[in-house]
Amino acid sequence: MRPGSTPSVALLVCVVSACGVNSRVVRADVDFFEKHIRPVFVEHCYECHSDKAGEPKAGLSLDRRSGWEQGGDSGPVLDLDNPEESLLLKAISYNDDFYQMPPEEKLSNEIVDHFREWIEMGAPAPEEEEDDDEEKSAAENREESVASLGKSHWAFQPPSLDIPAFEGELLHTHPIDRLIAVGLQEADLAPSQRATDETLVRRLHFDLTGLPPDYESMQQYLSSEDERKYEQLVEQLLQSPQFGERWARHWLDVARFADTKGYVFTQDRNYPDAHKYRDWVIDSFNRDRSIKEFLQFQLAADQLGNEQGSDLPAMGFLTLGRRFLNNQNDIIDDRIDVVTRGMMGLTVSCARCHDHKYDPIPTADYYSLYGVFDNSSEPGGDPSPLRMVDRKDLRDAHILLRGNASNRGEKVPRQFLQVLSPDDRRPFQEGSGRREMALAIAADENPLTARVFVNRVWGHLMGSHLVETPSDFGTRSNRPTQLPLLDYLTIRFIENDWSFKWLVREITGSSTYQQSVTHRTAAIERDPENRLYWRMNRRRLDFEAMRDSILKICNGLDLSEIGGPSDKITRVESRRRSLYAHLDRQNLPSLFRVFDVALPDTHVPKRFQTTVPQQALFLMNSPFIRHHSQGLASSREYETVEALYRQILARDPNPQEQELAEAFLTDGAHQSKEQTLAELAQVLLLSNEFIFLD
Amino acid sequence: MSRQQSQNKVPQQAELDRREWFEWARAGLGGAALASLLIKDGIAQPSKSNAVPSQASDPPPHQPPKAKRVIHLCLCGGFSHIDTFDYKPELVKRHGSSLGGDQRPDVFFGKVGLLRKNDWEFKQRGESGLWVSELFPHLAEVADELTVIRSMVANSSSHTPATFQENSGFRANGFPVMGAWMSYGLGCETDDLPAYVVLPDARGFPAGGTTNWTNGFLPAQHQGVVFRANGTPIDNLTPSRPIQAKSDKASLEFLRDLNRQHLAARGESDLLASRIKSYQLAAKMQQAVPRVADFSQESESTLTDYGLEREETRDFGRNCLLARRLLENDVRFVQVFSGGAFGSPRINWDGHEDMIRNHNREAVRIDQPVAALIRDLRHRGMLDDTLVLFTSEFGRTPFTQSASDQVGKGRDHNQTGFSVWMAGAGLKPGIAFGATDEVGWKAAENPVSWYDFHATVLHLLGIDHTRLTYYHNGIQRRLTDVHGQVVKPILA
Repeated sequence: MRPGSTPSVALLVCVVSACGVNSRVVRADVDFFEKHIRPVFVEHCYECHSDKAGEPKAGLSLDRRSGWEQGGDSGPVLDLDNPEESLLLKAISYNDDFYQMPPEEKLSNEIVDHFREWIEMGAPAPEEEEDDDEEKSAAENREESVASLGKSHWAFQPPSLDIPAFEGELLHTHPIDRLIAVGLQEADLAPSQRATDETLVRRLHFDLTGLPPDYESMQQYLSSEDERKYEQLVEQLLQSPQFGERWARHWLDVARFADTKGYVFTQDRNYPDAHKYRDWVIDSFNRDRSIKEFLQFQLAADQLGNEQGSDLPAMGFLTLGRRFLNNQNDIIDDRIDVVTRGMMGLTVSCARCHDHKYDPIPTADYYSLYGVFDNSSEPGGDPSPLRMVDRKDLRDAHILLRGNASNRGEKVPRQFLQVLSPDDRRPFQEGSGRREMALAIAADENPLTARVFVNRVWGHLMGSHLVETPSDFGTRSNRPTQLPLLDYLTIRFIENDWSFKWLVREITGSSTYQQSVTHRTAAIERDPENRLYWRMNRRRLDFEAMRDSILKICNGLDLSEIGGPSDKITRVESRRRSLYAHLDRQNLPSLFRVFDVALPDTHVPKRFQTTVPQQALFLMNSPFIRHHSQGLASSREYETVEALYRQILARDPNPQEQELAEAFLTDGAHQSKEQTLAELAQVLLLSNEFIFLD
Repeated sequence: MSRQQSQNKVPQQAELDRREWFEWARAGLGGAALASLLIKDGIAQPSKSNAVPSQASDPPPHQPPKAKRVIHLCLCGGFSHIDTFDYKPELVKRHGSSLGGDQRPDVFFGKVGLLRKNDWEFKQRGESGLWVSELFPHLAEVADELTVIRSMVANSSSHTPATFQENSGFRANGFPVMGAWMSYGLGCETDDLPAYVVLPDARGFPAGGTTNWTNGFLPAQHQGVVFRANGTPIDNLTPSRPIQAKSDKASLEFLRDLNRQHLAARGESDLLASRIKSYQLAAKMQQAVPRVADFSQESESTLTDYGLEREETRDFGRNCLLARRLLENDVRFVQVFSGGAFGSPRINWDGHEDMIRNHNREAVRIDQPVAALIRDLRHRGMLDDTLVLFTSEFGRTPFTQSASDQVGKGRDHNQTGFSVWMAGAGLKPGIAFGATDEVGWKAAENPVSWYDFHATVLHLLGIDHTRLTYYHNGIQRRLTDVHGQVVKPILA
């Protein structure tokens, strides 16, 4: 975040070894306060317990040393002789019958431990500031608080590289596995065994392309004795055009992509060229465009893209949002939101009406970004209707007090967010400043952007994110259990020129990724949510992967064209992959909602994954499933149990399954053979084996 | 293959007429004779009844329950308390004057116009003398059944977070809503139907969409299941082509065997088990839903009472009647929405531009059906152990949303004081609790938060709101967070 702090291994090794040098005890104590205590007061307590917030609740002020030393209406809050008896400590531990603070949510155990330690140290703090401090302007106070949180919150610090060096006896050599091993060892857990080859082939196919492997390629893999067959398969899948299609759909959730504007009065609701943005995303992923450039182009391809203009559709990221009946303030708000949450994991749009309640984002910063978008317009027509250009007549934005368009406050310059800028932040110099904003967001030095992207990819591949709130890395997000791992991947990702395919290779190459989804009772008791990754997470195919797989297996999938206009895929006869679905914001098919497809109204950090009877009803009764299972059964190639197993599950049935299936066919002998085979095919398509990814 | 195509055909047009509706519902029964499979099933342990038990670690009842089930009538957009249940003579007197005082209202659109009196005349109703305005003439006739809270306070004046809070206690999304908590805490007396059913407004989902009935971090089976107002209640309820019941059953048995083998090879897995269970529930729903949705056994007078014969009241009337039938069939919590998302034209209670037009249009849709529902529940003896909730996310301001020297036509959001009502089990009927200030702006006596409201609802269901918890991300979560006091004065 701070200028010149591009992380490097050498630098960080120095930082790590400098720790533990205990030069000035007193200063270190105060540092402890500044590092661990004051930020918590600022973030969680000031709203009620500060002189600046009006009358401090319960008479307790926590914004000055005399405040906590004197205590509040209930008496002293610190007991330096018996730290455990301190009301402050009891209240934040939720151990007091009356006070449980902060009321919204208990602080983490780590923070509570810091408070205990601090009280045990004698509650050191800097001397009280002079009285004239109170005359500081609100803006100055705000600036200080931004600076303070900017220094303390983990996500605003540059990533640091800290890989433990293990002795040879450990099997783990991959850096990811070493970092995972640290957490596992602390919890006295062991990783799970490597998954079977069959499982890994299926996992890789779905994760990288969203489609199942076929029987032949499975057999080929199983019979191969090549030591590098796993890596080769990863490479082969990375090079297939279906890789870009699969991952484009993940990014489209981030980009709140749809083909329509939402509610409009009279004009055409469609964005006829929306698919060009989607296709640009697919192409970028397939050609492994640097993610830094990928992000930058989506904000300013008009100024950064190539001269032929082929990158202009990238700006659909900004322009394809809801149109809010052409209310400019709402349109810009939507853009600020998709950019800041989607790319940086910051909820900047919370600061539209007031300074951000939790994060160091003053309202002025919101309107600085507002100014960037306010000075960008959409010319329409050729060469790309999705693009934006800078306005000729530039204008400064005013802060709109409480977000109210008729209530103008002071003017603010177009500039980047304070917390992510150097101390001598300067306004943007060129035009709208959009290009400079793009370069500041997708920058090696930005502590958020690369981390946010890496976390999203990890989440898709591993089934749970390192930072559980993938679009909110602000102070309300929990510090990730595996921060060193996130940082390692981020630093190496940046070093590898933000290569998406490198990142996928790195993660899938780890033993952590290759673990099986085992059921281990003791481990479940210790870490039920698998936060430490002692196994692979079992995942259910999302709607797109499920539908595409059924189509592919039933020979109904058209893979000949990558990209192209959107298609009404809810038609039974549609053969296009699900990501090409025409998405109407006003009228999203209920089928999509039943299967947890992301609503395109706003940016979606992660999809819910629900299991409801309507999903079962779709697979039991829908025209879609009947049409395709019957189509499969009507082909001469699939007249046996074995053939259907191979086609649908990419394996041979075991004797027991063979017997069960034969009995099923015999039982259905009163109807046509084709009908019974169709039913067998449908049952296999409905099975858990088909729909879950181990 | 002998069945005729028409027998199982699900009509594709958006809306069925009544006759078609009955026909469809009856035909659906024949198409899916699968229920016996489920009772025999070994994974969901067969028990004497097919009730779904509570999943709570400290299962209720924590005290004797008064109510067994809930209907929540959820009005979206914010209905005006000062035009409905909170009579303010002083507001009439001060019509056209400014709010005065030194408090600056913090309203959503920032415009503070002059005070505007109620647009609908208030009268005292029934034996109780409860004040109800002419906006709800039918509801006024059952005023003696209502328990009005006139001092509600919300923590947001923005629709979506306020609606989330109304339903889940939290302004952020991702927290389980009341219906999900009830499903989790109380289970369900049947597994033919979901414990928690949602009936959205026929015009569309509320803002925030399916988040309004989310299970949040609770297990997925506790989420609200949407029954559509028009057409078939649930998509794909019946097979898309003629199919023999025998082979459908054989398919499901075969599927179950396969899935069991798959599960056995993998040890326990909630994910796998819950999907297996979803097929069972789906098959049972195939039988139960058409039965519940079939109004053919309802008398003509019932259909007329609920307003099914009238264009304006048909949608909401159908949902109210369906809600009663769902509760009769052991559904635990039915949520009926009045109003959809925001935008123009307005399809909810958000009367920013023109209160009279907006509220007249919305009220006529629900007034008669809600009154009919209350009477019907009373008549059937169900009101004694059913709780009816009638709420919106906030109220509206006594001053208009206009220039400061004008009496405008619209009112802005008011989170600082508004009205809701409950009716039925365990309540003192025909009373109004709490009060707003003289003009109906801020709660002045006995303010009630959503936490208090939720605590009271849970209390009536026999649940101590501090004991119904779910461990998530290091904290025992509750519907009432760390707040909530049961509103005792309204209890019988």
